[in-house]
Amino acid sequence: MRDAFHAVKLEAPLKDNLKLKKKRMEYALAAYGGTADYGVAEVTTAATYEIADLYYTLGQDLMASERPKGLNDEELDQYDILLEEQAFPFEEQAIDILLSNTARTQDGIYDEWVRKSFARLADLVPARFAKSERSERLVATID
Amino acid sequence: MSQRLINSIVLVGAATLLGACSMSGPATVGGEQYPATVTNRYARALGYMDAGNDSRAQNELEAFGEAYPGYAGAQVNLGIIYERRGRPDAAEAAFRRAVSVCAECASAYNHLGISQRHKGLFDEAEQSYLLAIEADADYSLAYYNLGVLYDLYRGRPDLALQYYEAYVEREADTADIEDVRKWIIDLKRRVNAPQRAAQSGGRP
Repeated sequence: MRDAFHAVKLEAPLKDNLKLKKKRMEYALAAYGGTADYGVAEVTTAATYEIADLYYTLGQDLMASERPKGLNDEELDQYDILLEEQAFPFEEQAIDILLSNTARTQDGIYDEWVRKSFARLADLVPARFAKSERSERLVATID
Repeated sequence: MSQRLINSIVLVGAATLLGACSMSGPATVGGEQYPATVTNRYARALGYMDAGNDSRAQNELEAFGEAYPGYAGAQVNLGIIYERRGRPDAAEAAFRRAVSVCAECASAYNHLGISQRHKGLFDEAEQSYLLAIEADADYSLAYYNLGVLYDLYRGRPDLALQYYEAYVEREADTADIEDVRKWIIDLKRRVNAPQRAAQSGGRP
């Protein structure tokens, strides 16, 4: 289902393709939502990450979608602003879902999917998440 | 200037001079005498490490560590190399050996804490950073890393704020300190937001 979602390109006819992509997203969300209820930590973190990825991808695909032909520069600018307004909530949703995954470290859960969530958040919200530990490159003391 | 820092300067200097000469007779480092064979071998290993030759440095440090297990520096550097070469378990073991022979080595505790954090051992990492500070209250990196730990992994922005502030106090002139100052502003906002919400009865 995830692959089916990714396979839909947001190109003309955009309205139809967007509708199809959202439909396939709903199916994928339902499937991941079911696995998240298993109660197995790694399945839950994986499903959470994938759900966030669906939202993130939809936002990205919207921004990269085919522009209508025949628009002048000003119209194209306005169209881009409208697209951003459409895409932004999906990115916000992705961030919120990723945050729910990274918060699992407070329960001692730190698997591959939580790590990936941190990495994605570092890209999306670098001011808050692009932080890593500091240490000496080498220690010159002998004792 | 701390004894450890003096030792560092002397040994880095020795490593830089490698190839040109080696020390003969006992070397005095920070007022303490070490046999020249020890300092020469260690400086040679550091020279390889500094030049980016991790493979050669690892061999030298492993041999050094077997010959002189009581010197923590070699174990810390071995741990750093193991981390870089994707051997986290070996790295953690090396850092543990370092702190077992040097309870005052803040850097060794700091590296151990980072290694533990990478593995998701958050409680252990916290303890290691705190021990680094206990060993040397001016060891700023441990404050910074505690800030990161509380900020990202423990959900304690209040504590993260304290430790970032303590780091800034100690490293006010560091080039990238502005980033940390920005984090502090953001954390103050996040820490105060729930308090303001409570004071206003939840109304914005």
